[in-house]
Amino acid sequence: MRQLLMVRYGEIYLKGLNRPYFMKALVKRVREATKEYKANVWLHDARIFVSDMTDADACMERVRKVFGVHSVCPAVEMEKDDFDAICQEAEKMMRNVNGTFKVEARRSDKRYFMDSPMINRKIGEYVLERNEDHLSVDVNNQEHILSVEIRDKAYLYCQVYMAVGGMPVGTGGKAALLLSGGIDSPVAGYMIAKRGVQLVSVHYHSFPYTSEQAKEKVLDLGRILSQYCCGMKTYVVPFTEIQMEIHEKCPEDYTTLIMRRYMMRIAEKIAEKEGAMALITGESIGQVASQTMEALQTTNEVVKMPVFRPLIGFDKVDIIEYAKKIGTYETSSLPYEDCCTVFTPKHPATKPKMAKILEGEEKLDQEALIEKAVNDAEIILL
Amino acid sequence: MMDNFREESVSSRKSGFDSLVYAFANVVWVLLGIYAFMELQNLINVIAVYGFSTGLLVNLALVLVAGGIAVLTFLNKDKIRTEYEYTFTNGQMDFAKVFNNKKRKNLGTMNVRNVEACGMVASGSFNRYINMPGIKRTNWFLNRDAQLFYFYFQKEEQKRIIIIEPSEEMVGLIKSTSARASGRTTDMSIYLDNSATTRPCEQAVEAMMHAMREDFYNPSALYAPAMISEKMMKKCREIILQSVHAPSGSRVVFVSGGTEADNLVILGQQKKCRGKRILYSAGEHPAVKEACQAMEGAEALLIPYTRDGLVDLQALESLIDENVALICVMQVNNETGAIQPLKEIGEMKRRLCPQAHFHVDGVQGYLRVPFDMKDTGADSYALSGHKIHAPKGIGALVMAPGVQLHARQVGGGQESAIRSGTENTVGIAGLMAAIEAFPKAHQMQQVKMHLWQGLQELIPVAKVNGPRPDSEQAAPHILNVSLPPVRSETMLHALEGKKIYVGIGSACSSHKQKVSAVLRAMHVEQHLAESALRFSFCPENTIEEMNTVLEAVKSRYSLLSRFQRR
Repeated sequence: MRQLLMVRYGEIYLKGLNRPYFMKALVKRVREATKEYKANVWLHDARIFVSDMTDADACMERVRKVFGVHSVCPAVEMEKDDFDAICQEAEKMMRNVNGTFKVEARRSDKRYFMDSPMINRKIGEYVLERNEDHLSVDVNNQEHILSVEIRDKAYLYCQVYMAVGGMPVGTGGKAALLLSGGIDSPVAGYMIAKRGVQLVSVHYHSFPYTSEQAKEKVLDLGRILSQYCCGMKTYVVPFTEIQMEIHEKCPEDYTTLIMRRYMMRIAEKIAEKEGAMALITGESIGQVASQTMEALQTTNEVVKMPVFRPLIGFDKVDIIEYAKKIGTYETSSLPYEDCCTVFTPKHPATKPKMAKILEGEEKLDQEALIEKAVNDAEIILL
Repeated sequence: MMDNFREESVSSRKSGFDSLVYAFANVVWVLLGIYAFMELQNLINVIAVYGFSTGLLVNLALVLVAGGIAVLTFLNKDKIRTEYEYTFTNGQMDFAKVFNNKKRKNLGTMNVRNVEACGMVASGSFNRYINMPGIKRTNWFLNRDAQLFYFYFQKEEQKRIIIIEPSEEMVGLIKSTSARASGRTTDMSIYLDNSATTRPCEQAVEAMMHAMREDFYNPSALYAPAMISEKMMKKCREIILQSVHAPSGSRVVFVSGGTEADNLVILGQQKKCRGKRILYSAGEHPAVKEACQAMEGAEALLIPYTRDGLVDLQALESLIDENVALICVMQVNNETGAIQPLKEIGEMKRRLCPQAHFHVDGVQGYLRVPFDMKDTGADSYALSGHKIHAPKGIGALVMAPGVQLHARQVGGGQESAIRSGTENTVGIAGLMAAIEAFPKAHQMQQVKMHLWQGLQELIPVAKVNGPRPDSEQAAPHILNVSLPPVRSETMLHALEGKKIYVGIGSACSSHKQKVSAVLRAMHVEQHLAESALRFSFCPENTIEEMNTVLEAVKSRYSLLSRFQRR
């Protein structure tokens, strides 16, 4: 008899012949996540089992953050032949529980000497007899479910912790996330990574206009994200020079848009270098001047890659809610100056004219600026 | 005592492989030697019997080559197993190479105190030196992946850099020695934020080490060794009283720092101030301002500043009457370095409200600007250790005779029951050492003026916030300058990139609000206030450092000033 974690997966069930590929990826992710707890991870009979970890609670919390996991149950594994022992263990589990319950048996070993309804009745009876003062059975509307799974061994559990869901990271390709330091971009990254996408993040740093603390804050955000998406390569791109050039040579109300266009171009370069196939931004229609539909169109057209904007239809409050859920909100709202408020124009163009943008951009040595920025980027593994 | 001798040797990580090569070399020279010897004998026999012919030249060459290799291998085999030996004795580093555990070759001797810079190779400063033109690099290490340490120095016009691989302990020894010798940190940074805090001086560190290792006893204990701590505290009190020219009968209470001292003296008079008026100057530190505003049942009023950042004496006269119970004015303003007219204020207090308590916050002035408690008529004076090269967590409140305070912290009744809790003897030892070590004569005023004149030449629009730097009202250790249109943070980070550390306004409040309250009280225009930088000096700063700073400001300002915030 031993304690272990039974990890159940969600959407992968829907896969057909590809399922082994997804399973393999998920096991690998769980194994990586539990590495620091020196846990033993194996796949058996459509369940992933985690045992022998140094810190069971922390390990479970960690597994719950692995994309692709549907839920995690702390379970007891025991020999299935000794039915009395199973009953005793079940009773022990329910001893401190109050209210209504039912037993839900699942028998994947069809040669087992009892069938599922029989197991339900036997164990239910055993538990109820000894705990009649605080437990009662209700099979339709119960507060607790005591699950018994008869596989190679017998598994008992009565608590199910929901996990994040999604698909195992790495099964959905790779994309580059434009990570600012605000509330939106980490959420956008999270949402795409949840679909199994490996992330590379790109951050634009304008030292000395933004401080080292601002950069550290972004890296902290990256660290929170990397817990979910199994490590993330982060490019910190020196952006001051480009901003200064733009600021000096381009019309004032267009500086933000031209800057955004440069950000997209650089991100695409880095994405190509990293073998990523798409860009991710945290834009949402109409949130700021550079995110009106007209502005989005002008920033979108400089890149060939698809640009994913998972937050496009979200309100700010919804995004904040989401950020709180994934744990990035607090770090995001630290008060360091962001990608340069120094250079923000007073009245940025909300309905930009392409001709003016091109006219402004013509004065810049685009190739050289972008190449220098990409080459000088600092690469940090989070 | 500090342990200041250490000897260590480094050997290659792949020493097993080296031993193998060594054994192989032994085999090589023996075999080749035997071969050469036998071949030679053979050759002699042949020549003896058949005489010399040109065909034998090939054999002769073979003998010579084999013999040569054997001899060379024999002579050089010891070099395969090389180790470096580093010996540190009182700041002297000896380097030696040891071959095969027996032959030893001295490489050189160096005084760590004379090196211009040293540090870890992995640190950023290394690149600065290694890329200098004409530098000669010497590698005295074996493992490329180890923690490497470099020394940079100049000898006979030749710039040199030596790289070794010492252990952590050795690095500690080297660093402590070189820092003590040069009086600044080893990474060549220039620290000009001494009003935020200072680097503890070696004397203070030494004294604290001693207090921790030897005199650790509780001063309240009854056995003899505890008396040493007790005596040390007594001596420190005397030194402090002397340093502020306190009237006889004055007391010193040790506290955790300036904030606690200010809080204790203000909030400790809660009862006395009920229904009365409290006056505090516009630029007071939050420790004073917040405490004054927190007083229940008392009316806290602000004494305005003039444009120079000095207390407006006329305004004060109109505020003062016999209903005032407490007046708080700082000795030196922490942001502008303005020395407040304490003597005049004390005079006014004696004339108009003699029963009021006059508190002087001396955190920014203590030792750097002379203070005379008798002369000014102050009733209490707060000071903090970490602004004068003592550690953080120690400060003192000096109280004139007759001052009564209510304790804010109760317990074992230490410090005449005004501030309970076992005394911070380690901090007090550090404070005393720092006060004694603080130089009587220093060149901070010259350093400040050099920087100011340089800035004026570079940037004609530069403007001092506070009294004129060469006037008597300006403290020698603080220079607050606006360099419009470059914003404070931007210039701060730009200088930070060159390892020059300065402050914006008051370090305590830089995260709280955009424009400092002091500058606002002085009616400094918004755009000037937003570009204000505070340079604050310590006696160790030099004119040369200011030249470096000016160089840095010059190069950054011309670039940054092109971009104004809109």
